[in-house]
Amino acid sequence: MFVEFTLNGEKVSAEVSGETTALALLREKFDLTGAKEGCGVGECGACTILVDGVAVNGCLYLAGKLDGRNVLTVEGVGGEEALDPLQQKFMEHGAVQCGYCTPGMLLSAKALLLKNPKPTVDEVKVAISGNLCRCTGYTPIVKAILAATGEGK
Amino acid sequence: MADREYLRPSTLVEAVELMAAAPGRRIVAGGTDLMVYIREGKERPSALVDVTGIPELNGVRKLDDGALAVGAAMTHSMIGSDPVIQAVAPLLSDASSSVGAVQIRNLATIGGNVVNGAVAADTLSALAAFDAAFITYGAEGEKRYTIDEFFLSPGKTAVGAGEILTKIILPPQPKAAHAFIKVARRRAAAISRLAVSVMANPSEGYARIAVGAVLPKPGRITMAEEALMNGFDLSAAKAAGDAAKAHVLSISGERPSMVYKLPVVSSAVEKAIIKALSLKGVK
Repeated sequence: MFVEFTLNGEKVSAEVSGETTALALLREKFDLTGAKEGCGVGECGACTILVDGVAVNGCLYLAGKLDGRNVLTVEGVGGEEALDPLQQKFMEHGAVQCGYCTPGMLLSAKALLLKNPKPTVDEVKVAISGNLCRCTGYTPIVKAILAATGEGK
Repeated sequence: MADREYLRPSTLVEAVELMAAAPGRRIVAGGTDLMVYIREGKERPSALVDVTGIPELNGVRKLDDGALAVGAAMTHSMIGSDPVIQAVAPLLSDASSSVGAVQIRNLATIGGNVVNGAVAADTLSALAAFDAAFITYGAEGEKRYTIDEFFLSPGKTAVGAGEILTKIILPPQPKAAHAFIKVARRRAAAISRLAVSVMANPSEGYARIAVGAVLPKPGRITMAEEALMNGFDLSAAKAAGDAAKAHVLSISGERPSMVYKLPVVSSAVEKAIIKALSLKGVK
């Protein structure tokens, strides 16, 4: 089917077959390789994208569902001149090691802050509970997200 | 790989026609189970019929008899945050909020949880506690199933191919305290090893207790409920836990995992009752 949607602020369209995932479409047709395929079954969160402001697993999300929706990938977070505060704080707090989980972490954090600009530590932990990180032990990530809200250090 | 069609009907009649138009078509809602099955090669549908845009499958409505009709295409996130469901059926809100992690809850639907009929599905013990009913629409029109009629055996429901689950009906309950407990390997993104749903108001002689993931199909444990009929105290909670354990053993039988599971069943049921009743009391 033919889908039209907004991708990082731009109107785009694509022809998709029945089982194309949003992740495959974004990576292969639009060359947006920020979202990663980790597990491919919705457990690791490396493929996280925002659809209409909520975080979903791109690897499970049927591309046909994108029609008429507003999609944000990590490529649409921040800009050439200035990083998003989340990206800046991730760098400052050492919240990135191998980097594979980082785009998904940033988007889960983004979804949280869109809905709840002053989250508690527990709310941050719940928001990133669908994103696995095997390097950092999560502590710097939680600190970075809290720092991006103006709280914490 | 075959180029499967993705179809998005906007009415129930259209959806039923699309399902009947060619063999091997599959209904999809959130797709969080189906996409995994397709990836693993366990399912090879000829086309996907996405029912999430059909109005009858969306939203929550209070019926004339006080029952709540929950649209089958509502996501677990919606159910967890819906003010009407939180007020009338907080047990279901809690159960939906325990499914997977955020990204899954934003996509997976309660209808999908029900139709796939997995014994470990997080919402089923809550639905059993409510004695939920299920409304479907198919070539023969609308059908209503009790929970006992709906679930046949692990992974098997009475829903035929081309029959679409539209609503889940929660009959009205008296004022009660509630608790939902999930036992799993991790707190998020983990499959239930055990789920316990409790709604109770012992001074009014009302108790609903159901467990998930350790029985072949969802259902209440009336023996455990009876233990709370003469009021609540710690020994009544313990008696209910023991009754639940005896019930699980009688239905599921001895198997190696029971050495671990049975003590957890009794203590989790006991704990859920205490959590529901001793902290908050019946509001």
